[in-house]
Amino acid sequence: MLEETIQRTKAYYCLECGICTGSCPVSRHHENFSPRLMVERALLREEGPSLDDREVWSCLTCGTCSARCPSLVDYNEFTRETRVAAREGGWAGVDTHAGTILAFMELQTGAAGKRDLSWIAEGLRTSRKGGVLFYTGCLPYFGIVFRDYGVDAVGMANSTIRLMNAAGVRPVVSSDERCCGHDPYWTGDADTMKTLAKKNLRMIEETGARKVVFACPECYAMFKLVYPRYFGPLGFEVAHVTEFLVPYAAKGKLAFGERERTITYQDPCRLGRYAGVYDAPRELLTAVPGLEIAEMARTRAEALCCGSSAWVSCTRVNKQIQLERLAEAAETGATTLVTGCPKCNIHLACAARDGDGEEKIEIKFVTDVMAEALES
Amino acid sequence: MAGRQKTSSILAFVCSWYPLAAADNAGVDRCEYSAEATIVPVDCAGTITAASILKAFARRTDGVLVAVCGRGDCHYSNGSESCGIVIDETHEIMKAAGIDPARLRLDFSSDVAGKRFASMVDGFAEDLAKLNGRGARRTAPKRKPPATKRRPVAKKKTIAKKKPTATKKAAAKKKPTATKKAAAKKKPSAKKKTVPKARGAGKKTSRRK
Amino acid sequence: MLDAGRHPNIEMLAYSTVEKVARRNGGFRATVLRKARYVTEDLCNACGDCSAKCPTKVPDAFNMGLGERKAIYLYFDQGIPSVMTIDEENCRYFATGKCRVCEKMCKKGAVDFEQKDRRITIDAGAIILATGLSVMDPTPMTQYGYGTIPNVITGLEYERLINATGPTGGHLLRPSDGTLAHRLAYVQCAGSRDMNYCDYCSSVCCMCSIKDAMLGREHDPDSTSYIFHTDLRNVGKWFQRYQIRGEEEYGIQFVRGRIAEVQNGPSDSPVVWYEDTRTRKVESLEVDMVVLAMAAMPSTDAKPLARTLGVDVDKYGFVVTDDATPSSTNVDGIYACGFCKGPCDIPESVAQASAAASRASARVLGEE
Repeated sequence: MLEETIQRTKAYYCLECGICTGSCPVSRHHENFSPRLMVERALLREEGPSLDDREVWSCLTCGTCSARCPSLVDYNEFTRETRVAAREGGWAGVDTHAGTILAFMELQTGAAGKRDLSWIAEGLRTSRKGGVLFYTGCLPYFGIVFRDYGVDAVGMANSTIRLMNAAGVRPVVSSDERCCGHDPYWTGDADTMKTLAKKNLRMIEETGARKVVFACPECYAMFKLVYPRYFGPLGFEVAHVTEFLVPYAAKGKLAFGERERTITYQDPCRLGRYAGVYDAPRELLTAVPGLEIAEMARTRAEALCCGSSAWVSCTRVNKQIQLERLAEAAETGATTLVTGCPKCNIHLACAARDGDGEEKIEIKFVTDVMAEALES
Repeated sequence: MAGRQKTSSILAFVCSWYPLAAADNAGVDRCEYSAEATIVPVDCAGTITAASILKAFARRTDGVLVAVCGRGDCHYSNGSESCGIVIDETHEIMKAAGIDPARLRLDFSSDVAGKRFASMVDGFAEDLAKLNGRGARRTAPKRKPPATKRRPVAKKKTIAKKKPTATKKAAAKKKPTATKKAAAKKKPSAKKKTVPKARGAGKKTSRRK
Repeated sequence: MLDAGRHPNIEMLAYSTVEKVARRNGGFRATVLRKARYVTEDLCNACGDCSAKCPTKVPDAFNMGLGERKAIYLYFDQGIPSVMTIDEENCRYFATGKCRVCEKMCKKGAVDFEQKDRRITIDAGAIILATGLSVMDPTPMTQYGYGTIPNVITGLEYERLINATGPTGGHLLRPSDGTLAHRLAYVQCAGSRDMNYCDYCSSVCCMCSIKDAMLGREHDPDSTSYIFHTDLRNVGKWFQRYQIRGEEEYGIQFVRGRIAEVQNGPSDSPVVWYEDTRTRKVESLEVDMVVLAMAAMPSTDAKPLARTLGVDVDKYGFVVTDDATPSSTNVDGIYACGFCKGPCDIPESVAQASAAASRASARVLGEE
């Protein structure tokens, strides 16, 4: 298994130059964590990587190392495949949030019934069948779990629908939707992902949607990059909500009122380094008259991770990364930190709550900012 | 409660203080109650997580019963209150996922009377039977042993540091025995519907968890 | 270069482009565009009176844009032929029809605004390609912050800063505030040996950076240079000895580990992040200036020229040659030497040039 992983991820190309470890946000706060040494150990050890190594679960899969690796070693995939082996060997990671989140994802593989759609705010127009589908992902669930963190995930889903309505689109929101499987997948549980994916693909086929719009970049990246690997080409287009709305804003179909404010933008790893979408959120944000973007020092492909992913590791290290990012955001002088991913929003908001209060910056999801600026 | 046929499966998380004493007394007092309930003693209501309940549903349990000490009577000061919060959240998640929240029942009680415990379990079983009868879910309970997706506790690390394969075997072995034991326990008690060895069994189960 | 310029049998056509090459009598007929300099080459003695009075300033390409030149200029001081040129794009006369200050200043009467582009044909028995190299654009490597962090410069910019004829008169002044830079970090393999950019070794950067670091210490005894490398490729006669000398006599600090990221620190001092692969620790170091040893690539003009000549180039633009006949290209009678056919340093380029010249003369003299 290890041999195949090394072949697939081209780990054998490693030059041992140290760029990965030097780039790794975790390694800067955690001296035992080193992507380079993990690959080295895998290459040198005859008996395979140490699956009981807790550090297998410390990787954020943020992709900074892979993006910079001169030998194009796919470190994310290396981590993921090691996690599959670790899980099979009985060394699964310790889930954050007492496992609630991964549990409700597992719940959706079969036992769950039709999703409750009563969260959709009054006055919003959605339909059961149609050309454009809004894939809500975990937002309704996050709305429950993260309410106490000051994060209104249901509000993010509603503001997305509000923007689509304003653009003249009445999206399908299906009660047969299931979790995309991103988090089980990245914690080494591809089977759960596959079960969920099949249900989702069937659901989309039944609604007749030709275009699926995502608010969460992780769902988006799963559909765009991972599903085709397992199920072949998708029969529909996928777009992040920012990508979807940019043409409407450009054509003037979405009108925004004047909003004097300086914001800064957090590039989510799945939207940026994975899916390569950097410009759409910026174009959409700057469609609001008076809104200016002050970029952080590390931005776009070099953006620092929000500090946690796949609900598998949340330690001192993750908090330090988050506080580092909040400080960087505050340095720009912006009043609001806009995230392109609900999960970045959750993680950074959590850190802001835990922090010593120096990093006082408002954290908002991109569609919330845009919906607020809508000309009513 | 005619016939006492098994119509649904119930996983009962029972706090090992008052509620477990009640369950024990039910056995001592020869109170007959539903065979569906598999009792899982827990050290304190505060240790029950949404994840363990949701996973029970994911693995096709019909209902989850959470029996905890009465408010203010927690042995560890506030376990029952925090359990209340967890259950509220779990109810919401179930609702969002399209599972009837009535399938999860929280019972606060510091009453150690076996009779009350037995009738409480019976009441839940009856309600579940009604829910199942409505066709909301399948009627015959499937006793599928959970898949091998169990997350082992990190403590086991040292055992298998040298040979990961050994742990794999151990993990694989552990699961079936656990289910077998539960099944074995169930059969003889099926007629009597008592849980006489709850305390002893509880210790073992809690360590497994 | 000077020798070649003075050689009676060598005619140098600078400021010219090969437009077309056709086969003719076993040789070639080349059409060459001689761009108008608006200065008569035979009259100009490059005294510089004209550029002293020229009112238009433009960024100096030879100084990597660090300094300025005038619209009438000498590309660089030792250039051959030593003749001024008017840059038509920026000249005030060409833009507005008024000025002609240079014409008035020139005592030789060499300025000629009526000059036109000319096309000449040359019949040649053989052609030698020696188009050299250009350096990779550092902006796509956003992790190094070139263009956004003011004190991150390229190796070539460093060479101009440390040069007495350069824009700072040979003082290593930081672009951000004009103060002297004492601590320098060299980023080796910036784009070289990187499958995202150039997956080959540029072969010259290790030695070049050692030389630059030595120069830095010679100019400023307080200077400390850190060379961050993958592995030092000082392959060649006495190159290893040169590295040791740099370490022992010039105090160069060699760190094994590529720089992962450059961040801007307080007072615009860049902070480099890297893993010292010997100690296996992630470290950061604040320096005054970061020098990027950018990958060397075939000259940007090499590909269009190769197309004109029908010469095969690889995906990077290097001229394809055969191992058994390293000077010959796929076109009979066209030879290549130097960096245009693969990374090499100066001594090797000289040797290759001699080889190509011998092959060409043998052909022209009918001895092949």
